[in-house]
Amino acid sequence: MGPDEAELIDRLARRDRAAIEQVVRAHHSFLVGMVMPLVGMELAEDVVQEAWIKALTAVSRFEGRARLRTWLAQIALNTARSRRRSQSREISLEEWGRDPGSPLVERLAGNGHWKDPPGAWHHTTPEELLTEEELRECIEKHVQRLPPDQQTVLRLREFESLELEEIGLITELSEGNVRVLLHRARQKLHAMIDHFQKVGTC
Amino acid sequence: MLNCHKVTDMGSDLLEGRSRWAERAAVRLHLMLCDGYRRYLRQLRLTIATIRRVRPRQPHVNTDQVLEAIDRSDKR
Repeated sequence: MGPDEAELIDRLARRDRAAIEQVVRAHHSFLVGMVMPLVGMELAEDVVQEAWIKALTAVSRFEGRARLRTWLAQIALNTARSRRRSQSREISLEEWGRDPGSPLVERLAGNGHWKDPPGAWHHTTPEELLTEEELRECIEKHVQRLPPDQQTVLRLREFESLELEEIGLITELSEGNVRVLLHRARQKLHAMIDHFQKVGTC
Repeated sequence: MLNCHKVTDMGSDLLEGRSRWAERAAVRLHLMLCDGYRRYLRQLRLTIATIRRVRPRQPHVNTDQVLEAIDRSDKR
C-alpha cells in the first residue's frame, strides 16, 4: 500500500465525506459490473450499496495487505454471494471455481487429436471481425451467458485489465484456478466466433 | 508427445508467456506438425484481442444515491 492510499484509508476511517465520495466515484461502477454475473443487473447496484456500508464500517480494520480496490471487490463479491444464497441459488455457487472441462471435447477424438479441426476465418484482425455489428452483440450476449465464475474472471481480466494474482484474491480462487477459468471462457467465445464465421449467426 | 487436446488446454498460458520452458518446447514441436493447432492458436489470439475491443457498456450507476445511503447509515 502506497502512502497516498494509506492516507486515503485513514481519512475513510475518520468518515471524511470527501474521501468517501472520492472512493465511491472511483470504484462504484467497477464493483457493480463485477457483481452483475452473480446477482443480475437489477440487484447489482443494491448489493454494492450494501457492500459500501459494510466496507466503510470495517475500514479501520483494513490492514493494507491488499490494495483498497481488491479489498472492496472482495467485500462486494462476498455480499453478492450472500444475497445469492439468500435467494436459494446456492447450487450454482457450489460450482464456483470448478473446471467444467474443455468445450472442444466434441471436436476432438478419443485419442486427443482433432476430428473437427477449426475452419478458416474470413477475417484476421479484431477490427475486421467487428465490422459485423451482429458479432459484437453475439460476444456481449455470450459473455453474459458464461457461468458466474468464468464471467467474473473474464470481465476482470479482459475488460478491467487486472492481473491474475489480484483476480485470485478477489474471487478467493488460486491463480491456477483463475487461469483455467479464463481459458475456458475464452475457448467458449472462440467456439462462438468460429460458429459465426461458418454460418453468419451465433 | 502432447496431443491436440492437451495443447489446446495450454493455449492461453502459451499466448501470455506463462508456460514453463519444457511445455513451450513440447508445444513448439506440436505446432510444427499440426495445422489444426496452428490455426486454433492463431484464432484464440484473435479471439482474445477481439473480446478486449468489445468492452461492454458500463452499467448505469447512481453514485449520488449510494452516497446518500452511506450518509443515512452514518446517522443511525
